[in-house]
Amino acid sequence: MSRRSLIAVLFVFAGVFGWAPGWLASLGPSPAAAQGPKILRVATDTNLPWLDPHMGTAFTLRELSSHVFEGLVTIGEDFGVIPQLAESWSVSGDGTEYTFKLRPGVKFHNGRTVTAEDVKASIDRFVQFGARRGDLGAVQAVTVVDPLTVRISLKQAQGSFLGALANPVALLGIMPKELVQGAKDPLQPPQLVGTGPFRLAQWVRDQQITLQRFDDYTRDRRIPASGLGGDRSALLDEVHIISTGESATRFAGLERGDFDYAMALAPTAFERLRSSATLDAIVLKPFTQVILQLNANRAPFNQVKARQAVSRGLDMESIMRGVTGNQPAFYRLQPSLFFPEQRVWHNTAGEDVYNRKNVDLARRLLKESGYDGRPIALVTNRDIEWLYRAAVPVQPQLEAIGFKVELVVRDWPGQIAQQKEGNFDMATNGISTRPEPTGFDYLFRCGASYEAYGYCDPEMDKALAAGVREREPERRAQAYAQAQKQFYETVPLVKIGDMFQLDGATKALKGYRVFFLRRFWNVSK
Amino acid sequence: MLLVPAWLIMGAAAFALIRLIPGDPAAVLLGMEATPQAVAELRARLGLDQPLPVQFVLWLTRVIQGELGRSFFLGQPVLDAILGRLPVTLSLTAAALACAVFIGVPIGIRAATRPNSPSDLGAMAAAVVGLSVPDFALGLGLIVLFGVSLQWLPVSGYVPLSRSPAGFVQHLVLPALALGMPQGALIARITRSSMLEALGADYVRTARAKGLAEPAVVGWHAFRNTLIHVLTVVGSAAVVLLGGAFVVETVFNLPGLGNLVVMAVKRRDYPLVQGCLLLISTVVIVVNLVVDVLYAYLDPQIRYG
Repeated sequence: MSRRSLIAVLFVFAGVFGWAPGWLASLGPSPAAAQGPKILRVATDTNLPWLDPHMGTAFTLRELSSHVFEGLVTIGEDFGVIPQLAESWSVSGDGTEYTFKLRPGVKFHNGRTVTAEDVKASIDRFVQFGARRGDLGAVQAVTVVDPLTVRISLKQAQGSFLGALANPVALLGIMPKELVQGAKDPLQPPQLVGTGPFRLAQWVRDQQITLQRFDDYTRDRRIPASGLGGDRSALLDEVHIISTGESATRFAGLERGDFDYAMALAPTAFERLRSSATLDAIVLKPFTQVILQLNANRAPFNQVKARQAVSRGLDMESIMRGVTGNQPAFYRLQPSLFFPEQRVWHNTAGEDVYNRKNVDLARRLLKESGYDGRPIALVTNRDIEWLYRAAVPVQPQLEAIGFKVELVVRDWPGQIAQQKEGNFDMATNGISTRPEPTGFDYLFRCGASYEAYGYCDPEMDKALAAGVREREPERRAQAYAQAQKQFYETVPLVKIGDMFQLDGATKALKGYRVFFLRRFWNVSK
Repeated sequence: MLLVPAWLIMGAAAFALIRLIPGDPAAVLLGMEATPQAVAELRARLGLDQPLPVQFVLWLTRVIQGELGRSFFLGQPVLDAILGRLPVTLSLTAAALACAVFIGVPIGIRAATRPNSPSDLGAMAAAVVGLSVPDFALGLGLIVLFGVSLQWLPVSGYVPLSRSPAGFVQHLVLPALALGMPQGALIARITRSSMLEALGADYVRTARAKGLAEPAVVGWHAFRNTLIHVLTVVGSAAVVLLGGAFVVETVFNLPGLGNLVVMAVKRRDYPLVQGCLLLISTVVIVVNLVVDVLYAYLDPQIRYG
């Protein structure tokens, strides 16, 4: 028996470790050898509760929506507004009427041709129920002039109107009238019908989203591909977006060839990707601004001097090094609330203040603010690891200028809850790329949203109002430069730095170009 | 009959626990940027604006009627979500249990028949290491070795048996090993010690004196009498494996029940968390019941009055 049991043990080990996997591997379909349809397998870190483009602002939804849906207008490579389903448009002299001509013959994924009725129904629904309905609050009526002409009347002129239509954060995608009319709740597939180069073929919740090339896609040949618009086409037959929660698993799957593209890898994978013969490192840029939110509803940050003390007491470079694991490729220090890539909006106001650490000045400001030494709560979480890594170095730096800081580590829902209750003094957070400034001005506007946390400054409000009102892009940009100047004087929140995201892709991926959202049109394999 | 109070207590605990963690499902669904009005509207739609006792009674009434509610995040009935994930977790747990038994029992027997030999010491040292390594670390190690370096096996995902039997096995080998090996180590240790005890017993001496071949002595007489101890460990291992599946499913990206619960907690998906906890506690209760019944079958001295 002893010999037999030994053989049994050996057999089990041989089976488990040696022979079986090789045999099994030879049986299964080898990913590398797969023939037939061109499928791009993308590993993602996030899952969505619904895929309706109008009804959510999640980052992944922005990306998905840009493949499946199209708006009247969209964002170009320099973040300016470019036409998409609109052939052209005209604006009345007083700026309260926009008349859009549609491109003729554009097909929905269900084969029907887009008409002005669909545009009206989609805008009406968005204005009533959309996640970003506040941006389009000025819309008074949408009128169908003829099958290819639609007129939008505004209650008052709104310079940010085209930008609000184009904003891919909760994309105002045009959907068939019969599906969107009166749809209060998020639509579910197969009702999610758009005009984009890919159609939504299948969604297994928390597991996989399958996009399929839309064979009857109506290409827009007027301008070359730019930003989220221009001449786009699906060169791949299918894109499989596969939920893979662990970043180590996404990376291992990419290295093994199970995935062609892996989103959101740890910065530590950068060197390995760069030295790989088969993989490319992709730096998603711009990605997000790392910020420190301050609760101005209560002491000490209801005092502008206490807020200024934070802004002048921090060394942003050392914090960003902590955030990115000391990888300069993944951060940038610049004062603007817009990324340099957003050429239309970027400016340098505040460069004399941003990242100019001055301990003596910070101490003096804090003293003058009347801070009583009460410990302040710095809230962060470990679900989003970089938010935690941003908070850790902040604590000692603020203690060095005289704050007492208590680090409160939650999970992400816990942090949201604590901030919504207003039970915090500081929190680390991020502002992802906002193509349209009105997409995040609620952080700075008096009483506009709970998220300003009590901050209110008349000068800031004036500048932001001008940004909404002005119709000339240059004058809008000037208004936001003014707002940024005011930002550094009154410190509604502290900008720490720009952070980028590491993705990995197989070298076989052709034509991929980095933008602030991932784009898989005009990409082949 | 004691099952009913056990279930009630579990239900109340499941209901209370997830609500004790700070976090608002509506705020999670709508994100940090949502307006307070939008959050309040959604809370009302999800029934979260009711007082907690009312919510509990409503939930309990529906559970008694066999209705677990609807997941906030997935939008589908909780039971459907669970049933959709259950085959994955059951396959994984079964495969891991098989790994544990087929690794643990032979090693344990082998070690017991050669006590204090180098192979015994080696096996027991390996067992201690195996018991001490956390399953997620073991999982990542297996991924690096067999997935990335040797490229033998896929490192993530799940293929249903009905779609491809080979794919099913391929995708399950590494997670089952990661999950099963620590339990295999435990089983090996228990098998060894109870086998040692049995091999020293009088009936084994008698069997040897009768001139029985050593394999028959070890396999038939000694091992049969250690089965009850091994079974206890296997029973508790099944429960531990079900718990460990939570971690391993996340590492290997298997769309199983563990993954579902982890996500549900992160999203504060109250109905789903409650439904899963209730179901898992039911499974634990049933497994314990089965083990108790098997005891009586294996050991005639045990009789339940």
